[in-house]
Amino acid sequence: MAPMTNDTAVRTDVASSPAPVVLSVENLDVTYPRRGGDVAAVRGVTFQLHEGEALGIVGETGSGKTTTMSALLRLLPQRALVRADAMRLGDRDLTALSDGELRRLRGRELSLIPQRPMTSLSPVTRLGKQLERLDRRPGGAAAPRPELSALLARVGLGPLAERLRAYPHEFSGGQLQRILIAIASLAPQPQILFADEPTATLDVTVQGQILALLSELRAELGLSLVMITHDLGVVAQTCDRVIVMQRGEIVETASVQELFARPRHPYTAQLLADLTRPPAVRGRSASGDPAAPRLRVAGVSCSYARPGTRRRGGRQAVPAVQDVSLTIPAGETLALVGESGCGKSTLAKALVGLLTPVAGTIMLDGLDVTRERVGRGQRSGLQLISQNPFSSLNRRRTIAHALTQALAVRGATPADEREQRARELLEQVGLDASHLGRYASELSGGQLQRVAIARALAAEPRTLVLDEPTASLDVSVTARIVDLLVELQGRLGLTYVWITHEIDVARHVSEQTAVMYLGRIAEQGPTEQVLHRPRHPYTASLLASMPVPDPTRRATFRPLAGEVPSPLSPPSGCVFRTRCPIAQDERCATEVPELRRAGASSSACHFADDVAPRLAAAGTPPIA
Amino acid sequence: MTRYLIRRFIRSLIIFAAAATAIFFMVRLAPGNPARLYLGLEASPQAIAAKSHELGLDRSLLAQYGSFLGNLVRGDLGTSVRGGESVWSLVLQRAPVTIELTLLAVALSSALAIVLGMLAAAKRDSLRDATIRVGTVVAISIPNFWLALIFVLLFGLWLPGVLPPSGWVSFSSDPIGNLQHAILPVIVLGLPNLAIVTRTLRVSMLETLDHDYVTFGRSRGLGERRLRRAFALPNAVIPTTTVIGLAVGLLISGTVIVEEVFSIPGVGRLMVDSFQEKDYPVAIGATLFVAFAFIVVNFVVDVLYAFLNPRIRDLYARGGLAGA
Repeated sequence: MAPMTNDTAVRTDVASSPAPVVLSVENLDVTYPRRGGDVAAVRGVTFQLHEGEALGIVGETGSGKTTTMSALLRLLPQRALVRADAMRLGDRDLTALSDGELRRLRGRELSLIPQRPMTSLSPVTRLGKQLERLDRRPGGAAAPRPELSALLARVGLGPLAERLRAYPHEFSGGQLQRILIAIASLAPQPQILFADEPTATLDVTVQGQILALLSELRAELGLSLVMITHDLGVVAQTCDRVIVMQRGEIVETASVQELFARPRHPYTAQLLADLTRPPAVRGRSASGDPAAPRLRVAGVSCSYARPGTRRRGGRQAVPAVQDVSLTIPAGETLALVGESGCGKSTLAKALVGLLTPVAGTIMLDGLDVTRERVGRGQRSGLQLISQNPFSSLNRRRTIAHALTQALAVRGATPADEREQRARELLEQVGLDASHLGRYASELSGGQLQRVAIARALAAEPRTLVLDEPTASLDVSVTARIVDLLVELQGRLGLTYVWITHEIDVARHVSEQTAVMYLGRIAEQGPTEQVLHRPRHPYTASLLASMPVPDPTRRATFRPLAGEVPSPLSPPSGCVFRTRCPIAQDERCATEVPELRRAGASSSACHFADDVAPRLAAAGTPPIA
Repeated sequence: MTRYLIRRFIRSLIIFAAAATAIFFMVRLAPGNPARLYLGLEASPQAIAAKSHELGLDRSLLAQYGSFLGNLVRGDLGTSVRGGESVWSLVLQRAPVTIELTLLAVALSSALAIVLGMLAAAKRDSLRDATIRVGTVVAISIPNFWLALIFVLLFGLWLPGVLPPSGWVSFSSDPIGNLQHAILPVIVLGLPNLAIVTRTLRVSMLETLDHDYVTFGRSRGLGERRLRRAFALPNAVIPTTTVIGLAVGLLISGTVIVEEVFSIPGVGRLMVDSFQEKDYPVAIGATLFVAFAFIVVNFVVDVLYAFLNPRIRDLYARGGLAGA
């Protein structure tokens, strides 16, 4: 795919000159009537969208950004009360249209790219048949197959054209989102394209590809785009103008350059500040002694049984983690970075003993915890915080129950003191005793994650494995949780293995960073080295795929092409070579690169010593 | 797909073997000596002993079980203690009647249930939805023997000549008469299935209507009716097939009562009669038939499940991670 070109920047200038208004909304209110007082989801929202403009609507969960879009498309549930002084599409009054008339606008003039591509096509119907139904171009009931193939080819799915007979689950998330984008923007071409968090569920490199595709299509077709997102990086890379929403109201409207250079509303300023933070300063007593590391992982490999193969004997194994070695001194943080399927969560499972490695040792404080005889007591020094606090706590139980249960399992606290100890634990994570009697279902995501941390602390661990602890949280909540974890680390002398796909978080919290790709460590070393002077083309590509929250740095946004290969049939030689910008045929295809010293880091690349010049020669811009 | 079918088939065989074992022991552990029943109360102990020997009842239970299994594998179910006919031919002679009733009841009630479930889900919490839901609760609460008796009274006593209240004629001798005789028993048999499937499909539809693919279809401007039929229904039907499979089990056991009340010469009645007469070989044969039918139906449901759900099919076809 072609990387994003400079015409994005050019268009920004064009958009600031007055283009005709295609959509205008005045004083939009959306209210949900409830017993005991109505809930206002959107209040007094007013904005205009110009022809060919990309307008970002930014806000956190519950800020009303998706509700605003759904109100325009009339996709809200019937109980929602929508009222507006005006909603105009060109010179048509949307509020005056009947349901049937508005329905006919949807998919023709107003089109939507959904948030979750994996579930937005029916799983039981062949792709071709579904595309026929979703294709709303005039002239006939069903679009002919060649046209549908051409549609897919347009979004980079050329060789897949014959796969119109395939079912949706046979495609990856990125491919599905391309298909949905093709439908939404070409069948037929709409006046306004709404994209509702179109990359929220995708990996960073695929996200980059999708954003680039959207910008490219928009430039070519002159579409007006409404981009709804919580990610300021996405806004900075794709939008001309931005609306910031908070609690159902617009708090700021500005051009993208203005917003990032001079945020006017305190909420916007806070959002930006949370995103671009320098490395945390931790009140650590002494830096770790490398001779006696807290956690030492040596040559660990894990594999899963291949589904559908015979249970015993000839069961084929799918390698998930291969020959990973890490050393983490006490009190430090190692960030583990990589795309989904790279093995980082499998490694986390092996660390906490949920999975037995097929090879290698995991030494915790000098004790080999991979041996079978290691009891629960010895393992409790290591606790796991999982990604989704909504599902890791029982919604029908109180917080007090969750904590006292954990204390009972640990067994160190007498029964009558557990309540008191639970209170202390809650205070440690910034909650108070009033939360004890509440049910998990009554707490917000951030509060739940705090409870999950408190529960892990109940075991008095010295090491925490954090599996994307902020992935399901909003930006501002993420920053608070990160702060809490950093503070706890300093106070309790904890050691962290911090799994994340957010480079900013890794940069903020860790001393060391390990980058994984297809089960192997691609690069590993001091964080400031790895993330600023990458010695592996994968690290460099990962950094370039990240939408930077800075609209002046669009030129460095170069998403890595392709997708992670299947671990069932990994490429020969270097596993990254199929996507590598600097791969050379012979050596990379035949020789598996060893992880070896390169500068201050270790890199598993044949060209580790001169990655930067080679990347530059291949046309990839340097990392800032 | 073949792999999936083979697996399911083997599983069905194992279940059948287990069912046969359970049936054998349950029947054999019932009190009363069939030899005595056969010869009457006045029979001499010597005669009873001789008869027991002839029937093999004096051997150990395990030995009897062994020969039962051996015969079963060879397809020999023994002969009736009473009439001396082969159990096979007795069961086969009655089977078509029961199969006809069951299939008609399942097919008609499931088809109607899908329509009703769709209608209820289309307008959630409307009067129509409420009526259908209340109707299903009533239908599920009516005991089948009671409804059968009411039908016999209604059409036998109060409305004579409208529908035959009892008896049976075979399809080959009088197709129309056959169907007329089938109407009442089929209603009684199908009613619980109708209710269960309607409720399941309604809930399943409401759930699928909230799915992303329906919302996306709506955002493409497709009408609600289209969304329900082309997007929601094919997905909602999948969990419903499992329920139909289970409901058929209930329905087959219902034939025992229905055939008795309507005087229909099916396997259900054969079973009741043979138990009353302590005709063990026939009782075992008839019960095995019911178990067999139940297993076949669930095998068909499994196959249907894979047919309706491409992900299941794929998982087995490739023996690998789908879409990985």
